[in-house]
Amino acid sequence: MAISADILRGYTDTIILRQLSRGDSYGYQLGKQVAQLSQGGLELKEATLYTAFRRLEQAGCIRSYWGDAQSGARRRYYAITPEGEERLSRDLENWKETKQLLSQLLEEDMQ
Amino acid sequence: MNSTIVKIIDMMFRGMPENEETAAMREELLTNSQARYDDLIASGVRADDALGQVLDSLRGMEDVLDEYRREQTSRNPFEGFERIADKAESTAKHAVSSAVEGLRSAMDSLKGVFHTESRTTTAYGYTDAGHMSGTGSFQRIWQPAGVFEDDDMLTATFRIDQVNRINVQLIGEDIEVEPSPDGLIHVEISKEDEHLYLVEVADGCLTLRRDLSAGTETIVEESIPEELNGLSGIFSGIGKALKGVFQMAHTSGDTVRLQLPDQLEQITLQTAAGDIDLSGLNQKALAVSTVSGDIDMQACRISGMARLSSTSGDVDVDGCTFADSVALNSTSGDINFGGSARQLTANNVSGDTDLEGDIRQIRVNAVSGDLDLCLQGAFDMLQMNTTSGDITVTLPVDVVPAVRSNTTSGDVSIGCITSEASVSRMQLNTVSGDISVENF
Repeated sequence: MAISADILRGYTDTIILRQLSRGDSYGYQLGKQVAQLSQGGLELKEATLYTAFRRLEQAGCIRSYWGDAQSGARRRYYAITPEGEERLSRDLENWKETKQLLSQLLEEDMQ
Repeated sequence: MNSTIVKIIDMMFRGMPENEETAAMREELLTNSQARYDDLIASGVRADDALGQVLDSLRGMEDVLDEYRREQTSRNPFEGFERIADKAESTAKHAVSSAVEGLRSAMDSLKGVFHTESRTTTAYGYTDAGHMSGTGSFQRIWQPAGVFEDDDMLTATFRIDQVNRINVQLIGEDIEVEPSPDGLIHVEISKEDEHLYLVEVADGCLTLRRDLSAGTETIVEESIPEELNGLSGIFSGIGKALKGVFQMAHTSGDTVRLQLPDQLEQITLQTAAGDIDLSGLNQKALAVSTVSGDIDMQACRISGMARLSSTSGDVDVDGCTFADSVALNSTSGDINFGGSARQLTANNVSGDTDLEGDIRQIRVNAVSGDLDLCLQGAFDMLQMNTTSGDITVTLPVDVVPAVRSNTTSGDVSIGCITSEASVSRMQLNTVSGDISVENF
């Protein structure tokens, strides 16, 4: 998993958008979903999530809203915007191409 | 809300510009951390482990906050300069104020101040210097990998990057040292009295000491500003030995427990009234002293020099191997040794000295205590002196020594075969005591 860390990092935004396209979520929940889907292979720390949320929000790909207060503090939920959906489908296209390209280059002689 | 989580997050946000965005970040971080904590607790994780995992999930967050703070304060032509100045100053202030604050709330907080070549960072029981930033200039010196606290114990874990010596200086605490299960240095302090401990990492040496100065706040102000005095403090670190200071304030003092990785260069342990227990260690060099406590050393291997000293306590060594030399000192306590050594020196005034094992070179001095030596193998040199005590030496049958003995008023009894030509030379002196050499 260490080798792919750089590749994964390049897809943090896409992974977050993909999760939000399933439904609104908040930081911890989203991180947990990702950890479960990847069977622990990818853990998004608060710092990573924050940076990504801010970046995506500034780019207009997601928007945030506050949930109800729970013992004094509120959860910040994120929702994907139409721009975010577009970006996600572009990223997915890119990923499919990248995956195919890498597979051709790296696994060619194994087939 | 868990009060420790609130405290940690509040400390992280100290020095941040006060605005809506900051408040939002704080609130978000708080609810996420609390959700993580609740989830862990619900799945049966212990409270302190859960807190540890929450801390772990916050690694690197400080870099994000620093970045944000910088964004907020860089808006003019002098931007570059001011940014550096501001960062230096704010991190320094941040560090000092968090440290002071931590001591104020001595009951349940602790923090580290972390000083490196290029920057100063506060730690809230964790820091993650190397986090993803990829900047080569940021050198990690040491890292408390976790600080956990429960009702009666405080635990700090240090990675050993560049730490190869341990220096512990305490007063009334007992010290227990054992091997580390995971290659990290663990420091565990029970919380009973109210004391301040200072952990400092400098030049590869981790120092843990009790600060004797009275008021806790004074200690912080004395120990920190020199390091973190704004710009000068930041830049003074460049090109010099890098330092980290880790402050622990809490209610404690009875037992300090260390778990150490094998083969550190030097371990120095001092306590005044406490006992020192060492077990299962595999280390290079050891210097251990207590004034009124006992020293107990079991099943250790020391490849370099070792020195164990107690003034009024006993020194007990059992099942240990000293590849080089070992020195055992006591004034009024007894010295007991079982094991092997290339060279052993024991000094005692009124206590008895009892040595057993495989020792090549032996020097023992006492005033009124008795000296008892049972050798299990050949030796090269043996010298024992006492004024009023008796000397008893027991040898294997196949060891034939050359014996010189002197006593003024005592009896001499040599019950084994001796040879003047032997390379195993033995010199035994007492003024009023008896001398006995025999086979077992």
